Order: sequence, then structure tokens, then C-alpha cells
Amino acid sequence: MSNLLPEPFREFESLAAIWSCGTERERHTVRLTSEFEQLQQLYDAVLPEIERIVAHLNQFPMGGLPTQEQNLLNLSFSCMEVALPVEAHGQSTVPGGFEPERFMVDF
Amino acid sequence: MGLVEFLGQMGRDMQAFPFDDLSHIARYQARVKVNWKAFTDAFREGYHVAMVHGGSIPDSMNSPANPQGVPVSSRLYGSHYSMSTWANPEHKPTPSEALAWKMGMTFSPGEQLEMGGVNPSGDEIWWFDMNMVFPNFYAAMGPGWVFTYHFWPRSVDETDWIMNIYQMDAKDYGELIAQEHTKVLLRDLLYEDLSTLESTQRGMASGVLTELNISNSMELSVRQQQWVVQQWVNGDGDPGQV
Ligand SMILES: [Fe+2]
Repeated sequence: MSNLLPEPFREFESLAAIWSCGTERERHTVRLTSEFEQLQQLYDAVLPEIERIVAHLNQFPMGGLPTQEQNLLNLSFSCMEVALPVEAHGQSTVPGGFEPERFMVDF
Repeated sequence: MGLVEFLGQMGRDMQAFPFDDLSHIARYQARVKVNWKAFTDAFREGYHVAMVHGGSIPDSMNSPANPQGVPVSSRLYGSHYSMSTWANPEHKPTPSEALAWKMGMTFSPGEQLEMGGVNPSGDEIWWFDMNMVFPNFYAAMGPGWVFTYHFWPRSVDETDWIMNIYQMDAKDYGELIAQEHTKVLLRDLLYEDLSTLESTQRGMASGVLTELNISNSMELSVRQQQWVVQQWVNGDGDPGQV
């Protein structure tokens, strides 16, 4: 099977298989339906590496990423998606929040 | 009456804002079983932040120095309303938030870009402006971002709500990832805001309470809306600029 991520970031291959989704709606859905431990795993692995990731991505023009780099960007977006749950909520959904089934994410 | 005339001084106060430099980064929608006016009431004060958002942003708009998150200024513009919120200077960012601010910008209190069209009262400590355009449009405007709500009544007790988020164009991938932080933070705060509305509506509809207490100062805009709606319903129209 071909690699999802560029060579310097292969340690995140298994995370990318779950989290490298191309739209905000998909990333949000994966977050809502994943166990909290999975969110924590993504956060712990990727957040400390975001600046290394950005340095790599910034070699390419805006809007012009090859597929593997696009996957890496989407993985970083997912890291932000899980940040507030990990840092504040302690769970995958918003505690006491409005029902996710009725909250539409359009993009 | 044209839009510019209708917005009056409120429009002039936001005219210098660099709207053209912002990208449309997110849209959210929900159908909520609440009257549209009660819906907008939830965004007409700052004290709910300490309670409704106490878990997500425990120290952004409130602190021991300002436990209720009292706003720094507010303006009555005829039918419209604007309020500038207080930002806690002692606010401690989370790791992801600090990273977002390092790479770009996010919604939380942080670096203040010099920008026209916001903070019309020139308050020294300032987070963002909450602008309520009568009858059903809201635009929160901060240093480098705007988010809006549309409230579309479907019936006396049901409203379609649409939120749009706009932020300064990302010039590199760090800024783009910081934009994602903005979206997720705002989105989760709205999950919290929307959670209170249907029980408010059920409480009012039960008829058990014959009146609701409204705070003189903290809920100034709630009082204003009651009065302005009466003006329009009674055929008196816009009460004019104050
Ligand atoms: Fe709120």
C-alpha cells in the first residue's frame, strides 16, 4: 500500500488513516464518533509537531499541495479539531451541548 | 430606506473595517425550538460566558476582577445595538491556542491588530464588538475576524439559525491551521449557547412564570429589543438614532 504521508512524517501513518479527512464536516464527525482516548492520542502525537509540519508545508504554494502533503495538512486540521475536547471538555462531544445530530457543519 | 441609512451611525462606526481582506471559512446551521427574539437575547449580554462557557473558556471574558464579564462599553443605535466586550488581561491560553497565536490568529483574546471599524468607544481593554442589527442579524467583529448569525423565524417557537465565520486570508499554512482553531473554538462555544434555548422556551411557554426579571444594565439590550419590537409592531418604526 502506498504511503499517506510524506517521508519525514511516516510515524503518523496510522493516525492519518483515521484523521486525514478533507472536509471540516468529516473531521468533526470522526471526532464526535471516536473514543476520547483516540482524540488524546492524536493530540499528544501531532500537536508538538505542528511547527515542523508547517515548515514542511510552507515549501509549497498556498492551494498547491501534493496529495501526501494535503493529507498532512488535513491531519493537522484534525489535531485542532480535537484540541478543545482534550484541553477542556474531557470527552469527544461538548458536555451538556446542543445535539450534534441537529448541528449542521456545511464546509 | 436604504441599508446605509438604516444602519446609520452603527454602519459608519464599522465602515473602516477591512471586510475585503477576510475569507469565508465556515458555516453552521441549526433549527432550534425557540422564539427568534428569545434566541437573540442569548447573544445580548456577556455574563452568561462565565456559566455557559465556564468549561471551554474559563478565563477569557471573566476573572476575579470582573466575575460577571461586564462589558467595557455599549451603544444604542436606534433599533440596533452594539457592545464591546472585556478581555481578561490575565487570560492563560491553552497549548493549542498558544500555538494558533504563534502561527496566526484565533478567536480568543490575544494580540490586537490595529484595525479600523471596531472598538468604536476606544476602550483600552477590549476583546471584540457584538453588533445586533435589528431585527435578526448579528455580527461579532474582532481584530481580524467576523462571525455572523442570521435568525429566521419559522413560527412563534421555532427559528432557523445560520452562522458564518470570516477571518483574515491565510498567507501560509500555519495561518491556515490557526484558522481551524478559530472554527473549532467558536463551533464548540455555539454548541453550548444553543443548549440553553429550548429549555428557556419551554419555561416561558409553560406559563408558570408571569414575568421575567431583566437586569437594568447587564441586559440593556434585552430591554432595548422589547421596546424596539413594540415600536415597530405599533407602527412607529425605527425609534431613531440615540
Ligand atoms: Fe455564548
